[in-house]
Amino acid sequence: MKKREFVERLDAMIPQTPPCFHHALLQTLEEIAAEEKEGEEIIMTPVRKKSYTLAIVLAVVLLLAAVATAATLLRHNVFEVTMGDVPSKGGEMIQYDLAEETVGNFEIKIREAAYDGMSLYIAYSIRDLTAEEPMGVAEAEDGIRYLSVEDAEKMADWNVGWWWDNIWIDGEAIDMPSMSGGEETGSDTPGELLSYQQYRLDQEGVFLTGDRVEIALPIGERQTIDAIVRDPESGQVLLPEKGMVTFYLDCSSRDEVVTATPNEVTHGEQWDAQVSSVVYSPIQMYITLDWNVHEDAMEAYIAENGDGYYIDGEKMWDYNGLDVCGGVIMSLELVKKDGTPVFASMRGYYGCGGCGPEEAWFTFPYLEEYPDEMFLAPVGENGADMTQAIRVR
Amino acid sequence: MNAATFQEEALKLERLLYRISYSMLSNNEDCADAVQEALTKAWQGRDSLRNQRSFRVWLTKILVNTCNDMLRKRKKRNWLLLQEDTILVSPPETEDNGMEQALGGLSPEHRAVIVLHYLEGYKVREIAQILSIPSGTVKTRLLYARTSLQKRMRQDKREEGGNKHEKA
Repeated sequence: MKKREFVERLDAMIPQTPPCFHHALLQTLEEIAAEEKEGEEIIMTPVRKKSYTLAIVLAVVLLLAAVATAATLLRHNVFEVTMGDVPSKGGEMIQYDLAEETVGNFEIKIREAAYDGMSLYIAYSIRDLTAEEPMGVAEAEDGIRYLSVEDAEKMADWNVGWWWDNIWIDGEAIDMPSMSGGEETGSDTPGELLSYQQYRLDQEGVFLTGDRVEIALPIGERQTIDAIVRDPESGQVLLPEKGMVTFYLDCSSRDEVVTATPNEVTHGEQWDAQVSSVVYSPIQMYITLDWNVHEDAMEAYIAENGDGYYIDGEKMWDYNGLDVCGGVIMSLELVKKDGTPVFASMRGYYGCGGCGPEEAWFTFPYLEEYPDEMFLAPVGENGADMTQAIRVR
Repeated sequence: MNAATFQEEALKLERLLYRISYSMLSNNEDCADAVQEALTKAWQGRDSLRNQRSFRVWLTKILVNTCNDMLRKRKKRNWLLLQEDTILVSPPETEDNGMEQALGGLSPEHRAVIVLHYLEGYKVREIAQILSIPSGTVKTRLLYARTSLQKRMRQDKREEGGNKHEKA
């Protein structure tokens, strides 16, 4: 397919600019002009926020232990690629060489997988056995072979495919949870594509236990979109009959995580908050913050901005706590008792991963030894505001 | 930069701003929110724009960051469910519906990269700058997104051919 045709069809998929967008653009620009004229500070129109609903907890089956196979080490493991570093216990958490299948001229391998009690980490490879050259070009900075656009032409006719939207655990479909992510690279092996994925299963309310959990990934023989069939009653995507790779993972590390429930309420200027749970896994620290906006702060906000957000006279949503002080909640940092940061850098990965009007979720790196006391606190130019610090430990 | 110039430059980019936000958020109301927030942030931070010729990249970066913030704040939607919802309101009649599903099957990051590159003409290093990711990652995302979409296009063509044959 020629590039021009590709671009034309891509362009056709983006709808015409809708009136609500045009109106929002014009209104904001008019407000900016008015602000300049009056010398006043513009008041940001808050965006809509959505509450978070936990999915059902998935039951898993306890079966026999998997037989260990000889490990094939990747140059970069799943933690290094997805999180930017290798936690000190990362190596011992990884289970290697979990499945292997051949589809035509392609070899599919589940190279690495790990479960830390909250997140599932998987690295798999798809290799064109007829290829003679490696895929991607190694970056001098990290040595990872990032794929080039030219590789697309080689892959265009591959009869293997993969979807990201769902994985199946013990036959039950799990939609890609929020705060999940991944990366694809080449390797030094000719024709090999490596995919590194992290699934925040806890965000779907899914916690795996037992030493033999069945995990099925849609990375086998390429299927059409028609292969996605939903159960008419539950709406759940049924396990496809073809194009899947299945493996078993020991998830007994769930038993090793330590959960603390500090629940010490801090009364901020505009909100009350408490850390309801801190999950210390061997890989990361997961913090759940429960919070609510003060009634008087909400009322003051509504008095100034109205009861909700309207477009062309139609109320799109009611304002909530997130509109009032969500920005402060999302920017909370992990500090010690004296207000100094626990970590010098979040490496663009850690920190607040999501926030609703009553809950927020944070992750921080694993430490062999955590400070005796830790807090989430607003940090400004003058350092941490410990008067509004929320106890984590 | 004064408000009049800011207004003039931003209006020129309306289609670009919509395409970017739609590719990431897939929802018109969210796009409207994002552009409002992004323009406000841009105006408040206009002193950080040293060269007016960089306005396009600069504003795009702010919008992308805003969309990313919105995505972080909401649970990721299942595009296929969204498509089914949409069908109830407006039956799909275009031949690109299948590919539209394929586009929706990509992550927001992949959709943003492909729209920035193929529809807006941004170079890989500009996209890397806008998204604050290595250029290698941009290439990877482009590769994946383009491959997925091209596959779908080819499949659509084959199906069109098959349908014609059956009719004959």
